[in-house]
Amino acid sequence: MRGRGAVAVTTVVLAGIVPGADVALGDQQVSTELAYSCAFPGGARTVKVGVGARFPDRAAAGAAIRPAEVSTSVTLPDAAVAELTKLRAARTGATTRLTTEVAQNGATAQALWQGAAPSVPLAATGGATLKATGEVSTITANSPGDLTMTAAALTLDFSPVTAEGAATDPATLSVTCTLTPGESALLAKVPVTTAGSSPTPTPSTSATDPPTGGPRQPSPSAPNVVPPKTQGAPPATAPACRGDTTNPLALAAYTTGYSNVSKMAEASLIPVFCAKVVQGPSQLKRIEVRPGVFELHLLQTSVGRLDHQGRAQTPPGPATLLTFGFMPTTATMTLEETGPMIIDSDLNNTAGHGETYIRIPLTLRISDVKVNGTPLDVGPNCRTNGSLYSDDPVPAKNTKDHVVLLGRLKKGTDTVWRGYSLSRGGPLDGSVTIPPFTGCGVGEDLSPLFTASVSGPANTVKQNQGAPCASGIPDDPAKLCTPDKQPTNVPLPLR
Amino acid sequence: MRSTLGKLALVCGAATAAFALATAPAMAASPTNWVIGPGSPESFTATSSNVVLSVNGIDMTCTYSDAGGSLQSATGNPAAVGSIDPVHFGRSGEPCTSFLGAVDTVANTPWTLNVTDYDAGSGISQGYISGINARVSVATCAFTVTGTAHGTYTNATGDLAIATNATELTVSDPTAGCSGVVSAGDHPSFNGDFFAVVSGTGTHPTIVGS
Repeated sequence: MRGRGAVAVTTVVLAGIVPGADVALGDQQVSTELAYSCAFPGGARTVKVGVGARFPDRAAAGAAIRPAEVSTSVTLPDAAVAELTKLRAARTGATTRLTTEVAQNGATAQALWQGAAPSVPLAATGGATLKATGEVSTITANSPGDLTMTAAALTLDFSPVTAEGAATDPATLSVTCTLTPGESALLAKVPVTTAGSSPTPTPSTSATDPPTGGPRQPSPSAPNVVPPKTQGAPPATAPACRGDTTNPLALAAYTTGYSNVSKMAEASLIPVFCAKVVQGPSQLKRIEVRPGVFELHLLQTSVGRLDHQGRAQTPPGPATLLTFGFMPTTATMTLEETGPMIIDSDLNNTAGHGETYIRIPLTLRISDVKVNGTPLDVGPNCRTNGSLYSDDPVPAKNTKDHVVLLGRLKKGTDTVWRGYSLSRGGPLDGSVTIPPFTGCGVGEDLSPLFTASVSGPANTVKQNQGAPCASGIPDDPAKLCTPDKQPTNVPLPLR
Repeated sequence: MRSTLGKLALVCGAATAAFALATAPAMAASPTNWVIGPGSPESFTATSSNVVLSVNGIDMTCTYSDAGGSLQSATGNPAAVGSIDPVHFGRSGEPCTSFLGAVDTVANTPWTLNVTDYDAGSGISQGYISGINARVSVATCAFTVTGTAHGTYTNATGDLAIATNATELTVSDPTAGCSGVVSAGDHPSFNGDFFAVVSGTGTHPTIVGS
């Protein structure tokens, strides 16, 4: 599995680039503190941002420059913390997206540095410091000359949680930040020298395929600058999730979260997975709740499917907490969908609440088991004997063969609707029973071991669906789709 | 929901409301000379903390909206005294919402502010915004709203109070995802109070008709 800190590795290509070997990193250690003005809902707050990274002290033309040990620390003043505690947040994590300007010989390109910061507690005084780490763009220059990297705009996506561990309402807070005028935002200067023994680059001809849509620098003497090839692509933490462009009812969304296996000490992360949904017909219905009193409901049933590289499953993720025999045990867990995902919404406009039930049959498969570091061959068919299941609130559907997740939407006294809706995502909760395992072991039956350590009732599941990309229509005012119609919104797991 | 007539009744006072409602158009002096204060032309900004677009009983509520544009003195009746450009509904971290979830609206501006009546005693103008064109999106459902929106402007408070007539806004070009919820030909209502100031000041613009 990819770590939570792993991020998109975009490639900034300064034109005429030929692929080259990495240059060994030198000792250019960068540590800069910058002041940003961040637009919180309550007003602009000054936020101190520390950027640390290790760059090569010089690089050869044509070779990739790969910043290492990149970290971004964000220090929030009390006023910014108050914006989060106002949402009843007790802690918050965040993702940071720092735009860096890459310049050489008058030509520029942008590279996005994205990081994930673990959750920190929030107190009324003393501020809070979030420390984000992540991988960043690789930069390649083909011609000699100083290459500079300068910090520019910063976006902070907070994922606050309450003292009870629930998502706040709203579940995320996104603020954009601009550099305080007068700040020197130079992060690094890397002298680029003529390639030594490497193939001589051809300055006027790009050796790479020019990506479509990228603006080119007009000056013939300067190297052409091609924006990151994967600009706008979802971070590497998210798998490919291209929505159907032929169906105007198509949605593609990322979801992630924790499955709290009650027999284990802690929760397992279900990595970001892709779901593709075809929005079902909507029905506006006036329902008479008392004589003469009507409520306006929107009823909708949609059908979806998980998609991981074409297979109806979540990406395989690590489970490090299997604890049979008191031996530290790691395994890979995959949830496999064995039937359609049905999404039923009843949104009550009049009463100000909505419920969305997602029903999905999911088998839990275990592979790549290591006990105390030693591989344990469980074979290719180690899985639960049937779907994980929840108690279905609808008696006729309580067939113990599917998971039920509930997303709630509620209208506040301030008229703002918050919580989950299929159309914009949000938190989904459920409780599942994990059935006994079957098919585990080669030569000896290991299924009872897994059944004893994992199977059982009352395992809580908390998922967070991101805002979906409506891939089949041209409208996308909130920029929820990448150019190739993948969701841009990658949710953070909620505990 | 407020209506323009309701506003007018309020202005005239309860005792004479019925009379005013019945006879206001005939009695109006139909001003033709419109003076913008404190200076013309001038640019303005306006914000609102409660804008509601409602269609088929579904309220889409914005707790934040802002607008800008320019005002200039004009003659005629109706007279175009302002150009509204841009208009934003919601902002980052504070989107407009409905029971469908967050709602995104792209206003295709400029819109035009027209005035038709003026009450010197109260300093309130009657008028309408024309050229309204906005694309509203919620997931797979996107539709266009076009038309006009009637309202009042109060010099003392800078309150541009919009309260559309029943059929002056019309839905067109809905995507398939709107089926069952919003259809072409539906008439949304649009209500909200935008409080205007001359750009960069705390001064409310004034509109005086004679």
